[in-house]
Amino acid sequence: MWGVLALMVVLSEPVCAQEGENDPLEPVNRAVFEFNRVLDGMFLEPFARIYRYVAPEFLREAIRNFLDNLQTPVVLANDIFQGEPYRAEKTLGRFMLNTIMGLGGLVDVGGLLGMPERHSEDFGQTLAVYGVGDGPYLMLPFFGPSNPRDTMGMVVDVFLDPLNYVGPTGIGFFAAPTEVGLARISAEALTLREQNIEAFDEVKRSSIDLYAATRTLARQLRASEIRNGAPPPIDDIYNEDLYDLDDPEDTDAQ
Amino acid sequence: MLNRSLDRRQLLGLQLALVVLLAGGGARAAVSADAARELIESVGVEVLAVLRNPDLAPQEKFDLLVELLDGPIDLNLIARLILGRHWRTASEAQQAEYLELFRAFALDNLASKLQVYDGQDFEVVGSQSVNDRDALVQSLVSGAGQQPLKVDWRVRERGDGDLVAIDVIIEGISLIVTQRSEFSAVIERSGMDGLLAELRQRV
Repeated sequence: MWGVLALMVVLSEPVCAQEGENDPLEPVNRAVFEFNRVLDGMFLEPFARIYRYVAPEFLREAIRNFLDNLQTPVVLANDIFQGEPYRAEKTLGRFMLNTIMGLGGLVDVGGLLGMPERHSEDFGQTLAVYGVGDGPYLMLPFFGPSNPRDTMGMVVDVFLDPLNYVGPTGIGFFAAPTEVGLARISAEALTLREQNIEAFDEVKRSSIDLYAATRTLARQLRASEIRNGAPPPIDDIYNEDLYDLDDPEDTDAQ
Repeated sequence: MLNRSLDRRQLLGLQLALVVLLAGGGARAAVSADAARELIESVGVEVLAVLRNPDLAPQEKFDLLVELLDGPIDLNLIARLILGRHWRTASEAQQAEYLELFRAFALDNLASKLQVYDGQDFEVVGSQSVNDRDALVQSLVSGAGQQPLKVDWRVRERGDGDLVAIDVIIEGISLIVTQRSEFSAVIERSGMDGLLAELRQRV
C-alpha cells in the first residue's frame, strides 16, 4: 500500500491548479460515465424519487443524521491527521452528543444546539493537505468522479472505519457482515441522490457537455472541500489581457 | 555617494513619502472593497424586491430583472473570460455571434432560476479586495430549513470606472471555471463553430 502511495506522490503534480483538463483517459472515462448514467437512470434516480415520495422529510433527515454520525470516526481520524484540533473537537463533541442524547445519531442534537455546519473529511483530503496532487481525472464505475489520490483515500478510509472491525462473530478486519456494509453504502447513495435530484436535473438541463460539466464541478467541489470552504485562490482566469494581447484596455461592455 | 548625500531629514521625508504611498494604495483598495459590497448589497435588495412582489407576472419579473442586472453584470466580459484563449483565435464574426448567443444563453438560465425561487433571503457578509482592480464580496443565501449557501461575487473596477460583477462562486463552484471547461471541451471536439451550433440549439 505504501509503495502505491509513494508512486502516486511521485507521479502526481503539485496541488496548485494546472492549465488544461488533465484527463488522459477521457475516452475510457466517457464510456464509464455513460455506464454510470444508465445505472443512475435505471435504478438510483427512480429509487431516489420513490424514496422522497414515500418517506416524509423528518424521516429522511433522521436517516441522513444517522449515516453522517456513522461516518464520524473516519472524519475524526482525518481531522487529527490534518492537524485540526479545533475541528476534531467539534467532530468528537457532536458524535458524543448525537449518539448518547440523539437516539444513536438519529437526531442531530449538536445542530439543534447551534453547532456550526457538519464538515466532512476523508483520507483523500488528508493526502491533499499533505501536498499530494490529485493526478489525472478518473471516472470510477458506480462511485463516480475521482482521481488516483482520492481513490487511494477511499480505500484507506475503509480500513480506518472502526465499524468494519466489529461484528457478531467477534473483532477483526471485515468481521462486520457484508450485508451491513452493503446496506450502508446503498443507503448513503440513495440519500445523496435524493438530496441532489434538483441539482442534477439543473446540470443536465443547462449543460452543453454533461461529461465536461460533471468533471469540472466534481473538481471544484473537491478543491473547496480540501480548502475547508475557503474562497478559491486568486488566479489568471480573470485576466482577459492574457488572452487578448492585441487589445489590453478593451474591457468595455456593449 | 547616495548614502552620503541623503541626510536624516531627507531620509525621513523619503520614508514619509513611502508611507503615504503605501497607505494611499491601501486606502484605494479598501474603497474598492466597500464599493463592491455596496454594489452587491443594493442590487440584491432590488432583486429581492422584484422577486417578492406578488403583483408581478413571471414575464414582468423577468423583464425587470434583466433591466436591473444588465449594467452591474458585465455579460460581455464574462463571455470573453469564459472563452479564454479561444477568444483570440475566433474570427470577428464568430466573436460577435458568440457574444449574442451567450447573452441569450445566460438570460435563458436566469429565467429557469427564477422559477425555483422560493422565498430565499440574501445577505452580504463581507468583502475584501483581491488585487488592484478586483474585490470579492461574500454573501449568504438562506432558505427555510436549508443550510445557507455561500455565494461569492467577484467585482471588477472596469477601465471606465464602473463596478461590474464578473463571476459568481457558489460553494466554491465558479461560474466562469465551470462554463469555460465545458465550452472548451466542445471547442476542442468540434471547433468554435461547434460551440456556436450547440449554443444556437439551446436558445
